[in-house]
Amino acid sequence: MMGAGRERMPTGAAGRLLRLGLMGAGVLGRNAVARVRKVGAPEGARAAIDRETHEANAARIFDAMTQMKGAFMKLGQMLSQQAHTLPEPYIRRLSDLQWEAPPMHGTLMRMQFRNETGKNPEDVFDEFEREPFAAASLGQVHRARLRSGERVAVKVQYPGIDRSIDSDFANLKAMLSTIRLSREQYGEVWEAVEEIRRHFHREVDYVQEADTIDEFRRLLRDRGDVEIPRVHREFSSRRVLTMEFLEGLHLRDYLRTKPTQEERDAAGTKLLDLFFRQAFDFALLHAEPHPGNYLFLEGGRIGLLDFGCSKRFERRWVDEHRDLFRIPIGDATELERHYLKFRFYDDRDPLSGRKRDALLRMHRLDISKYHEDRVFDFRDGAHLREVMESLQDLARLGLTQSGFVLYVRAKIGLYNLLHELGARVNCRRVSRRYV
Amino acid sequence: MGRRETKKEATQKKILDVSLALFQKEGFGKTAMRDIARKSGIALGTTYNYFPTKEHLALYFFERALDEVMARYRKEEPPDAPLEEKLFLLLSIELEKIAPYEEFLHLILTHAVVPTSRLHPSSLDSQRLKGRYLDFVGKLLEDSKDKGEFASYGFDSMILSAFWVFHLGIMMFWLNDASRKKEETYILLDKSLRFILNALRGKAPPRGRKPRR
Ligand SMILES: Nc1ncnc2c1ncn2[C@@H]1O[C@H](COP(=O)(O)OP(=O)(O)OP(=O)(O)O)[C@@H](O)[C@H]1O
Repeated sequence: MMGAGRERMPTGAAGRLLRLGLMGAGVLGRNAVARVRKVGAPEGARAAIDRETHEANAARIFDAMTQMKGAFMKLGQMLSQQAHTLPEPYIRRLSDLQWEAPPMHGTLMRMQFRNETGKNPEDVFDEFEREPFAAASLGQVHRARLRSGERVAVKVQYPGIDRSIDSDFANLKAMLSTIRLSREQYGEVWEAVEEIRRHFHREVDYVQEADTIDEFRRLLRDRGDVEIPRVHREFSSRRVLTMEFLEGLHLRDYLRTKPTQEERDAAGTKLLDLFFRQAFDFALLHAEPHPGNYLFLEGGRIGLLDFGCSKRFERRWVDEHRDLFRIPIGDATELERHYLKFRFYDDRDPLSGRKRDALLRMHRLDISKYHEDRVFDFRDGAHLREVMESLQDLARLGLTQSGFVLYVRAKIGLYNLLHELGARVNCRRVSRRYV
Repeated sequence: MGRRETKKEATQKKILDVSLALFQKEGFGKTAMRDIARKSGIALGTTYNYFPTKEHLALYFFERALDEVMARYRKEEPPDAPLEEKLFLLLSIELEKIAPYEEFLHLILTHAVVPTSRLHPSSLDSQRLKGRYLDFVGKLLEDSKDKGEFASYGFDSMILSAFWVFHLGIMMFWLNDASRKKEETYILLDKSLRFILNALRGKAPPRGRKPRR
């Protein structure tokens, strides 16, 4: 053991802080320069300067994030889906993060596995591939075979991530404060960051993920067409998750097999049904609307992965939200009553008029398809774009209640998936079972 | 160790084990050769024959540790791994080897700063140890060059000296690392090796070596 009172070198945090400090200064500097350059510049040129500055800042924040891995990876990914008020270049750079994460070589991965389970992978598995077959946001996933012959996927987390979360988030907040945003935008981003931080703490813990997987498996027991991998607890820990291997294709690869329109429609219907079932029957939502988390399996079955970030809703919230689907399209009075009850705004709110209009627009855009007994074509890109814009309006007006944000985000993530899948779905037939 | 231990080695090892235990318990400065001899049941004269000073003992510890580290490395070396992985393995074996002697190493460090000490980095004995270690690392570097991982820069000896300092730095960091299972050290090791070797290769850190999702 180490002697008492001996001075210990500050680990990790200091370096990261330093890096961020330097970078933050850089961002601040650029913003300041741009502010000066903008004075007296014509309108068009101002926008260009803003854009230039944002591009440069986005690039350096992106670089720092990719290098630091850990919290930032995940955060970047989630912010890119969530913070609709971030300037566009940030969102673009942030969404790049989804596809990259530094790898662990076999020696480090083995060591992490041993630290976690007390054994080497080769002592536990019949076969274990040293090279990962997939990247995870916090680590990587390896193929293996159990002694029983069952094929499994072993997700191994990069070491030290949980330790760095809080310091990374503190840094991120410091960094965000250097981006020029309006007060409302700021509030929006801040709240998003807080919410993500809480989720993140849960997400780094694979034991919690295993619990969620078990819960979903229980809830979806009767659904032969949805597969959720079984967890092998004896080979899992907080940072290692061993689960049944799902033999399926990601969306992109699935599309390469040229599924027929009927197959796409069937898959789309299944996915939408799954969403409603979760939100309204289970009040528990798989809140990772990222296309990588869906697998298309033999016989039209759907595989669901990644339960690190699920959201539980209060029953009351779900019940009230159900009403939203029953309000006639264009019924401003009824809708307003609903949102007042939800406390989205109140009469004294100077923005109440604009908020009501924005919510009314969103309602018309989104809910119409649940009122008409006909096939809705998700291939229509204009619709998706309009819904996104409408969501941005809501965000700009500060309508970002936390449960609402996650719910809407998951829903729009799903629409996006259905769009890319090219599915046509009779939405009413799906929703009518649940709302 | 592969070959049969001779009687001499058995005696040396006995003395070493006893002294390590005493150093850890009583401190390096406070332990006398006499105590070591008495505890190991070996005549004081014989003990002095093998180890004229406590510093010789400490050096013997490092020599042996190095033998064992190299032997284990040879057994575990991943054949087609890039150099950063090989060096990571080498250093992690070293760290595992010295892990039980953490307290002793802290004591040795304070001792080693005295310029007249045999343990001082510039002493002949330390240099010999360093030479053996760097020969080993040098061979790994050669291998990687043969495989076309690097160009030849013509300053290999400088690279190796720099590596020695890096390696000592990692040890120091490890000694002061209070994280769980000292994982901060391994993160530092992983990231810095990646960084250094990419710099040597003259290219930016590789992105996207990982499979696409
Ligand atoms: N049980 C499994 N069967 C087959 N493939 C799997 C399985 N689990 C994970 N994978 C593969 O690994 C990838 C990453 O896994 P997962 O989504 O669980 O990681 P993650 O760290 O939660 O990633 P992210 O949060 O970025 O989605 C998946 O997209 C999939 O390709």
